[in-house]
Amino acid sequence: MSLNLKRIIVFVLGVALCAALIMVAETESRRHQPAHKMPMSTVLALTPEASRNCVDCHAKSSPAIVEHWKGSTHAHKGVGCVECHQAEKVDADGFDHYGAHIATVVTPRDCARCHVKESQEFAQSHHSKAGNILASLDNTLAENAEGMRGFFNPHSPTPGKLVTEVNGMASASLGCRQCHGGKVGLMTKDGGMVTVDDLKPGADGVPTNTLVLANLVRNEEGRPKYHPSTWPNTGIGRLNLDGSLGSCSACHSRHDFSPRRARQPESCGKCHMGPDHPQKEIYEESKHGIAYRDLRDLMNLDAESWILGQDYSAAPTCATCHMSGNTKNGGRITHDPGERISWTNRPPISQVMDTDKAHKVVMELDPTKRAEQIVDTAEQKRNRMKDVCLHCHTPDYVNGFYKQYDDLVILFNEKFAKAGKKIITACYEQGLLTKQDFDEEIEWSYYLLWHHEGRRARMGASMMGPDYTHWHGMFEVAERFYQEFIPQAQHLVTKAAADGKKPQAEIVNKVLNDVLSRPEHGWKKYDDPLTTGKVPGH
Amino acid sequence: MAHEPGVGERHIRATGGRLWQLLPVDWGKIQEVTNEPVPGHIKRWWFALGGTPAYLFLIQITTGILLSFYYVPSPDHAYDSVAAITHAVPFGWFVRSIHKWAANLMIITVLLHMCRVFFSCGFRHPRQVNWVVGCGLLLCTLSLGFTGYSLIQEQLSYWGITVASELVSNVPLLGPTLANFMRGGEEIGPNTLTRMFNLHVGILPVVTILLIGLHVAVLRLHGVSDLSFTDPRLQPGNDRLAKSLPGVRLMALLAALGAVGCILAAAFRTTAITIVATDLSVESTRLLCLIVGGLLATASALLAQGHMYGLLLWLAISILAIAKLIFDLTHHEAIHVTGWIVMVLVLGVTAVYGVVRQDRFIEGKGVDKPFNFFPDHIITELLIGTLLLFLLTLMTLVFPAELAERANPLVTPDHIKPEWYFFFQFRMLKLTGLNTAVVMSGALVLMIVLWPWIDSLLERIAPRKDLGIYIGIVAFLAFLTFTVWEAMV
Repeated sequence: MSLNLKRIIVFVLGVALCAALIMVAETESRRHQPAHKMPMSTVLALTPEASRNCVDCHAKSSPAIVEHWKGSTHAHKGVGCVECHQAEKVDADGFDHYGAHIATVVTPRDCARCHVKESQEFAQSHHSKAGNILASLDNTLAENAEGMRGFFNPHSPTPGKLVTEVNGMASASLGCRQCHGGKVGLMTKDGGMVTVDDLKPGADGVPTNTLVLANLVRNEEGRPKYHPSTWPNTGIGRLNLDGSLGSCSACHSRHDFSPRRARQPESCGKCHMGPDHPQKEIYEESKHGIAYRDLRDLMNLDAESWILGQDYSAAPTCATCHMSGNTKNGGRITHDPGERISWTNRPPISQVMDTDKAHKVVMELDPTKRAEQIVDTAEQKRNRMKDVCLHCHTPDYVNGFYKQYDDLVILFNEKFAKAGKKIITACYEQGLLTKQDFDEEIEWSYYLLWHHEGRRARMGASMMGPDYTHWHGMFEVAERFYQEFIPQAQHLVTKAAADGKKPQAEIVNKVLNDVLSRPEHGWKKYDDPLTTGKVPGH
Repeated sequence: MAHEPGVGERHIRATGGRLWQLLPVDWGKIQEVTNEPVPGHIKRWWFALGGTPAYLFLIQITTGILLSFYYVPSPDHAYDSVAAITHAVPFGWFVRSIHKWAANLMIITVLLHMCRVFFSCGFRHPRQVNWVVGCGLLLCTLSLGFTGYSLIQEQLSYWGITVASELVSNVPLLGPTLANFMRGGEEIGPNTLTRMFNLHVGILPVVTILLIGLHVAVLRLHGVSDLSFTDPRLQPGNDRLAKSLPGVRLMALLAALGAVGCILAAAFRTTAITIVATDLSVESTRLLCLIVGGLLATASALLAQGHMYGLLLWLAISILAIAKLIFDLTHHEAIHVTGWIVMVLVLGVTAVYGVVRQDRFIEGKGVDKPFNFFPDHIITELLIGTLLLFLLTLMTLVFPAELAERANPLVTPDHIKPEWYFFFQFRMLKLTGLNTAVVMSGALVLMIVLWPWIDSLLERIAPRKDLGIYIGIVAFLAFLTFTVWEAMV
């Protein structure tokens, strides 16, 4: 063997050593790389053929969404663009886009192609029904008091902007529906829209009425146009064109579908905050929120499995208690946050969460009938929550807390909620109030009493926020009740008596006196509006 | 009769009298000894590989001393002091990174030097002793690497010692005693760190320095054997030089096409590429295309002249392309599989053709003439040294030494791997089991140490068949395969 050949052998082996070391280095560095830093070539290689074109083009036209997707678990498991955005030929909003038939809006029905269990749980949850506030009191406020159902003419010209008509529904679209979700609508040529109500989709999501589709506005690609008052919308109870309810991206933001983000309270805080249900603020005030803020680094938020007591223990977030798995429940995650809630504090009078087949609260009083209807008791729900509590607290501590919580809810229910309801119902029944909501002062007072202040008190108690329970809660409830609600009711009685509705006024006055003569209201004296003739200052 | 001054004395007088008398050394003799003419073939890069580990060892001593100013060899403070060096001490991260990468490079260059000596049969009689000393240096280098990463007290340190001491305790007869000595007790504890520290900064460096001294001294005693390369232009049977071979012309053409492609890509490419798990920016991608284009153009020009280095470049490109293909295929990440396979085939076939025709390639050095150690050879070594320092600095900037989780005996990590130079052994351990692995490792070390004698035995069995070289190729490729295999699982 010549010296030269030997040199070539040494050279070849030397380069091979370098190549092997590069391979070792690359494998090692990938192993320690966080998911969102995975190199593009790897992601592309994992991407199914069908989506590679999308990625190529959108990396230029909308690079950030590709970047977000790149860091998602989807990208790493070979779920590309088409897997979620694909549409059936019969779908109302489907269109051909460079060889793929897709739709812009991805609905829970699309997600359910893979995430079956999650979408079932979500469909059962109160979350998915959040869009059904249409025609509720809140809606009345946004559509009447805040805006108007329809368009009206501007007062005067706006310099620099041509305003021909005012959209009265703007507050409802942006305020209510961005949390609750609204109907997704496709624009028609006459300026109207096609929604799920027109399409009447069957159980499979296929529209049964396709005639309306002929009239859609489409661009040269055949892409229908979403009505701008209905889209963008990621409200959690969105009413989709395929008949499905909700939007998964409400919590799992697109396009990174980050479990990390859904685990953090800020995600829930998009909606669960503010004067009527300040859960986020209550949480922040509580020891739980304080611990989370301090120990965020120890929360293992990036972990694939996020089981309390196993993957982290530093502090609870909203998800920890209401949704995530823990060691005592076998790590079972639920996408129905109602599964561990024993009181619903949403209505004027809190209800015990004994629920029936349809996940509705059972209101039956007769014990045998009640037992027949109940599928999942409040006690079972509370025990599921206690599983979480017991990771940090003793049974005595947890039971003691629940006693305190029950006591406060019942106090509010019995002292203010039921009393207020009795009085205002009597006013309606006796014709002292019109059927129109919010046209009389006492209606606003009653609404604020339960919908804002009463909820703050109860929710404050449920999540250990003392200031929300008391100063933002019960104190304001009491002030509203004694300083506004009762005087306003007395005023209504006096006014009705003066207006010649004496019998009706007497009935309401009796209800009022019955309530106020109870010991819990006996700490102060009340003037009888009919006998003293004194008209309260309202 | 006048006194005739000797050469040395003349030198002393010439260089300035009284001051030099303070150190009455015969400088002339020293010059004579050190400045022995070096055989011409040493000019070739692959014969200069032995100096690089020595150069890196000097860097290790310097950076090691600097690190020892801040490192605290106590179990309670070791990790924190390394964290302080990495994050707080000015230039601490740089010194630590240099120390880390120089250690890796030292192992690579020791392997390459060994590879060169092995394949050019430099261990044969009468140089067997120096081969054995060299094996000692290899073991010292590996032990320095192992004790070095044990000092950091991160998860790898703790579990590395755990695995290593398990291995050691399975050595027949002496095992438990050796393992206890290594750990400083039955269990890994505070004593272990002290021992590792003592070995790393005391015993092993001293042994290494002594062995390097011995290695060089023995080398000088034997002298460097004079190897002669023959230029095909001077050989009578070689009437067709590489540049007139159609295959080589095709290679030159392909390289030229590749170069044009790369330069066009450098000018117009708008999509970025990924290299070693890092997404490059478009600008870096273009720069890289330009560099590759330049390399290919050089290869093309050299091949057109039938120059040896053109063939070597071609071989390097082929090997890297094959490695890339293997990597992508094993990771299920190959996108344009057919294209890659075709390219690898073309490169591979042409490379093999080139190797078969290697005796036709010329090298511009002509006939090797002996040259002076100083300054000629020193300048070569300095050049290599500067290149190494540049490479090391680059490595520290791109891949600075990081600090993993603190050692925790209660938590076995999911991925626990030693440093890459023990991957081979780790894989063997996983494949066979503790006892077999220990025996096999021992047998392997023994075989390497005794190789000069094994080789002469092979020569006697089959004279002039170069059996040893084939065994060496298989062994080296097995080492590489096991290393990559271990990395990928």
